[in-house]
Amino acid sequence: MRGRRVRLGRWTTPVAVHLMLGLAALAVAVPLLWAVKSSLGTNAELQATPVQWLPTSLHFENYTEGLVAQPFSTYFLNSFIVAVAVTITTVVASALAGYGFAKFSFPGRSLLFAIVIVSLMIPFQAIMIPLFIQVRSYGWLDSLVGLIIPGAVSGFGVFLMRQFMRGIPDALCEAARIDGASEFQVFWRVVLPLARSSLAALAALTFLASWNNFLWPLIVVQSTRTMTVPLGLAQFQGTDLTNYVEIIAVSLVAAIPVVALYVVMQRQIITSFATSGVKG
Amino acid sequence: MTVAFSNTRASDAAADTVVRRRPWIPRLTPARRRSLVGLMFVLPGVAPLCLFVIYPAFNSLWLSLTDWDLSAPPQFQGIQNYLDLAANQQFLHSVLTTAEFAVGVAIPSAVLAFVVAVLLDAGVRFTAWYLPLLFFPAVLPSVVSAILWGIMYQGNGVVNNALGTRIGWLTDPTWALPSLIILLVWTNLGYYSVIMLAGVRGVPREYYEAARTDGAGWFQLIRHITLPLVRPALLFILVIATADSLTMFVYPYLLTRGGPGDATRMLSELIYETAFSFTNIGKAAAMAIVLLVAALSIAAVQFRLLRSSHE
Repeated sequence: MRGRRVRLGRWTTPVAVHLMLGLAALAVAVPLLWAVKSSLGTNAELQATPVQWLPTSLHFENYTEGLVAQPFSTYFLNSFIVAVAVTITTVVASALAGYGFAKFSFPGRSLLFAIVIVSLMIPFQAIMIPLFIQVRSYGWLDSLVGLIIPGAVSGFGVFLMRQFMRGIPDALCEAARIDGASEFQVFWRVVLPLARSSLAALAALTFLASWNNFLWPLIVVQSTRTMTVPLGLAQFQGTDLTNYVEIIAVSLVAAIPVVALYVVMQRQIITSFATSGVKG
Repeated sequence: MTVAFSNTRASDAAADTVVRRRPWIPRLTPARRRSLVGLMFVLPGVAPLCLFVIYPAFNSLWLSLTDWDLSAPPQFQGIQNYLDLAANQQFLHSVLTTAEFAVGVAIPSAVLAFVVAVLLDAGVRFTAWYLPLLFFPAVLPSVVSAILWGIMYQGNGVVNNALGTRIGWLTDPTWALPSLIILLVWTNLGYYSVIMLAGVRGVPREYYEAARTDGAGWFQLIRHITLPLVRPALLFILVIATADSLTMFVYPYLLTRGGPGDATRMLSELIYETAFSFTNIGKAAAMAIVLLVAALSIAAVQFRLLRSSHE
């Protein structure tokens, strides 16, 4: 079905198709291109009528000055630490649990899997208040631990890995067992190498979600010491309201890790978003 | 890890020697042992979910039955918060706004995504690069999108300057919600298109060929074959838009603070403000439970749709 697609008729000439898709692409791209252009301009240019679509001069100092207007190096470091930690814990726990659910049967399995499914359906907003109270009672407010631990495992990740690992033939695991491999060796030497690409997709999605997360840091963070990039951006925008060009410049820098990850892994990211029906 | 699993070798002989060497480990039948190993594998995933998702969900339920300002001990007061919500104009208005936002996003998104999907599926060459571009805003940090669009939407911003208007996109009560809707459609168009594309590609090719030999034109093909067959995908987009609307926080919080007035105060933002600005924990928790019930119902529909589309 995917090989040769249907041509709907001679009316859908390639030119018309490209014209219409190009229009949609333009609508998506123009705000981004405008942002890149504005980040190198001045505040006056940004508000000029008629709209100036092309830069007249390049102000790279918007970037250098914007990035020191707030302790952004701390924010970037915090965001990286949190995102990397959450990605590691999520990938490890999801791989282990996915394998356990896919390849073992034990009493209580369906109950435990139901817990995974339900936690995948519960929106964060529905539990943020008790989570705040819980984290407060552990003394984790305003700490990176408080940012990392509650989001360290995701139901989505476990579900995704379980779905994938169910597709690995039992015969492969059985063969390794006959060769004397321990259960952990079967997991480590046979299953994990096969799951590498879906683990990479999960890692990418988890990193993106953590890097972009705003609401939980907004609740946990109380000082610039533990602030992450999205919070820092919001604070920059709140305190320096009319310094548009620098705010845009720093926003674009904040998007760089996301863009890099997307360029490398866009195919996996798009398919995992789509097949799951669950968005980061 | 390795230590924990060292007594679970498949070979009985090996396992027996391990057990004999460490007599405090009870002797297990191979089936029991495998069960235990399976349990050990799922525990690192399931235990944190119980502690940081399931337990808080029940905690939300308990908090919703109390009156609490975070300092004095919570006072149990039964279903009072729910009774109050049923008469709370701001809450009811925010439920309505959330629904309006969902429908407002779903309808243009479904139309646009359908058009994009049909065009991408038309078999024209060099169209593969459109989707990654259209999808890109969905991976941008929502704070970044909010900041960019906030600046574009300003009174003397680029949107007004390009259109030659002077509309207060985010400050005018009639325009604030539509402006946020446009922003979310921009964010999610590629995502919705991917879902729609899966639906459009699922239409069997023979249907088109049969209809074409009967003399149907492209419009008739789309109207009578594609459209009816992608109805599940259309419904799916409505469901996802509703879920997105229920959890919509960053855009109203950063761009309008729920205003002007309550014009863009959607449920998630109202819960946040009630809990963390007004420290009315019980009332906010009751709203969170309403949100939870709505989200679980939507997820149930979503799962059913996914299952039927996979069959």
